[in-house]
Amino acid sequence: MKTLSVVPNLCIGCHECELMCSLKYSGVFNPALARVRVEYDPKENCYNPVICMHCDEPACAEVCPADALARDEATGVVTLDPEKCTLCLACVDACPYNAINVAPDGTILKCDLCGGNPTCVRFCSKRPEMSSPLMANPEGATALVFVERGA
Amino acid sequence: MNGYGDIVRIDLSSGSVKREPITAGVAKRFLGGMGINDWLLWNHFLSVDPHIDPLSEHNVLIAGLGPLGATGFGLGSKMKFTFKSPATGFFGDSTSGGNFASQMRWAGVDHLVITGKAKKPVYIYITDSNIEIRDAQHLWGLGTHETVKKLRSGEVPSRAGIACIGPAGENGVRYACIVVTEERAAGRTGSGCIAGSKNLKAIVAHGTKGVSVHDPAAAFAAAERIFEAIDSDPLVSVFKKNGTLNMVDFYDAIGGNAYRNNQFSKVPDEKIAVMSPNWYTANMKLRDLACSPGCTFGCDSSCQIKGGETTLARRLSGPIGGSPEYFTIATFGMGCDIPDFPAITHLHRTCNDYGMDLGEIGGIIPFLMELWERGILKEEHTRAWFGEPLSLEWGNFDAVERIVRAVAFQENELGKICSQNIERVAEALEKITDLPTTQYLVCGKGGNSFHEEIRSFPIWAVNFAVASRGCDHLKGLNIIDKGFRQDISTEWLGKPDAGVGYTPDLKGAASALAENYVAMINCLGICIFRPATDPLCMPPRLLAGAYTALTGIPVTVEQLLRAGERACNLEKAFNSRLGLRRKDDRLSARWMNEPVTFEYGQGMKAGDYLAGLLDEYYERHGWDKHTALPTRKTLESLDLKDVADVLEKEKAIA
Repeated sequence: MKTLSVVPNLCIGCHECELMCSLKYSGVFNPALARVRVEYDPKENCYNPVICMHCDEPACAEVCPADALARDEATGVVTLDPEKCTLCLACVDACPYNAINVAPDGTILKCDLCGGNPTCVRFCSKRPEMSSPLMANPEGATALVFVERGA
Repeated sequence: MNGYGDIVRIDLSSGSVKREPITAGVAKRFLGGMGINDWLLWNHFLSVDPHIDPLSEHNVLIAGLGPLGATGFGLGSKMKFTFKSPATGFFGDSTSGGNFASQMRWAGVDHLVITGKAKKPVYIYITDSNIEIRDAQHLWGLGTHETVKKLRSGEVPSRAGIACIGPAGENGVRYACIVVTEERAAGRTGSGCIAGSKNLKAIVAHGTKGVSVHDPAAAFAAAERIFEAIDSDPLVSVFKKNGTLNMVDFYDAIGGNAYRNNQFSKVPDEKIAVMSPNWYTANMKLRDLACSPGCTFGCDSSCQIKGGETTLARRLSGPIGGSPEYFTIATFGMGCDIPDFPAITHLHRTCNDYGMDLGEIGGIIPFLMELWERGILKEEHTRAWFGEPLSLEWGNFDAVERIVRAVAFQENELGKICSQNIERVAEALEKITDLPTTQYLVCGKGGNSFHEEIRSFPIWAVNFAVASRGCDHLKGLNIIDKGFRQDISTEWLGKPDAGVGYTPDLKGAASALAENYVAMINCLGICIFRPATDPLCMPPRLLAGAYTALTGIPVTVEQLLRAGERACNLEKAFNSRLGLRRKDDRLSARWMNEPVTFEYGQGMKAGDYLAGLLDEYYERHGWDKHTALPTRKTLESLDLKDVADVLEKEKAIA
């Protein structure tokens, strides 16, 4: 079972993941409608992607009073059923990673791993080898990766 | 209309805010970004006398982002500020990365047209539903770094994009710039000076509406094609790894650097070694960054001066922040002969904090240093200016720091003299010293300074002599002759000649085509890196596909290029109204008369080829080569008959 992961120090802050995620799911270029989020840290002058970890025991599903969030045991993906969602935002508060986004209209934006081919990973900027001494992987890579769980 | 936002007109004198959509007709003619900015400028100066003092409240500050900016097409988001320049007195514009432009566009605004003058300092705050003019008295006097910090500590959302000025803009430095979060400057020609003259401290935007898309599936496919083109280009990894710093080594090999006020085009090897990207990566760099949203290229970086890197670094240690670009190394490192990366980084951040163009001040100080070396400026002068003797010898970091500060805060007579463009500086110093200084100038059209060897690269030389905003590198393109790209020359001109290095062959025609091409990129609102620096690896058909998917407006490559050419003609027409003619398309004496001494390009000087190449350049643009004026035929062929009629009345057409 593969899931999303972040390689430290590789995010360049281009927000391409947010832009393409919003295009795919909402048909517009708008980071405010993305299921993934990139946060800027002014002290470190760096960017950190915030992603849904699709937890084995998802806190969001546990607190959801409408059973709108559930983990698919076959794929490991935690998905939201918008029909059931009552917009109470309990999941937003419960997520330990602060990874559930709320759209400007109050609806929940929840990552579903794009059915196994995440758009955010597809468009994540490929960095060349040894671009920085802090690089986690000297061979070069992307900040967002789709890898086997626990890898 | 999908893919486009509105034009917002703000009059700071009356406080009025008016909003209008961009019509399909305007979009088709001018595309967006630079093109629509130029059209807005042209229209503004139909009802306002174009000969006004640039610092008059009747001048206009236009800010615009083109349709491919703030999208996921992967080529960045570049803001264009347009105005009548206080540095040169003619057309002025400047581009910046950063996140302000995209936030503005996500709030549904593509272009701002700011006129009038506020009674007291203000900032403009743009959100999805509202545009406010807010009090900025608590920000006045702050550097750009502090301004951002203060605004983001509760006053505006932390994600908001901020474009602001520092003390240089407030104090009327003619080449003051607007600095955009996170630390990207709209450098040349004085955008910050215009903002300061309007009492406009900052523009802040926070948008959550986004950019509407005509055909999302086609847009997704277009973005995939562009992403693949970026990755299949072998040169991309060089830029991704080292950004513009890669030019330090490349120019060192081809004789493109300018050392000690461009007296030489070779920097000593041991000095290149400590200004090279390898030194930077090993000692200071932390990570790669994209300078604007939507840029998957990411040639910017983050770094820190920890204090142990060099002797100077000991007293310069500080927080993590932005890195210098090639431009900063060329000015302070090579121009002033301070081969010290931490010191260069410190000066880069200082200029950005003061909000002044490091390109202009970084050209003026090497000029002062050469006057010192030649005994024209002496201790008696620096004592009078600074209250104590100050040596302006090559490499004196303290002197550079003190002059930069004196200019930003207008602390003394030298600070006041050096707050103008370099030609005015030379004239003022001739009066003070009663000795000739102008032969040591390194500048071109309009008196803007520059810091690269151009004599060996005639496309560059023509470009610096003719650029609509004055001597500068971003209206044209140097890859063809500096990169020896015979393939691009063949594609554009049917012959490889323009790509053959160290010759003037076909370089005039190539300069004209490069201007149209770069203008097209600037109309689209994206970065020139990749689409313009390598038009073959990132062919314009990919941009046409993205544009049509986004807007639903069918467009051909030919039409895109014509829009770029239209923008070039508007800028030409604006300058023609102001009286600029062929005599103004010029380069300083050093570039014209002194031959290159470097092994490659040895003996070349612009005086040998410039006149012939200018003929070729004007002809390729369809302009009159005797006067450099645009022609009715060319303007009408570009659907600019209205422009030709205005010029006709003012006898500014050939």
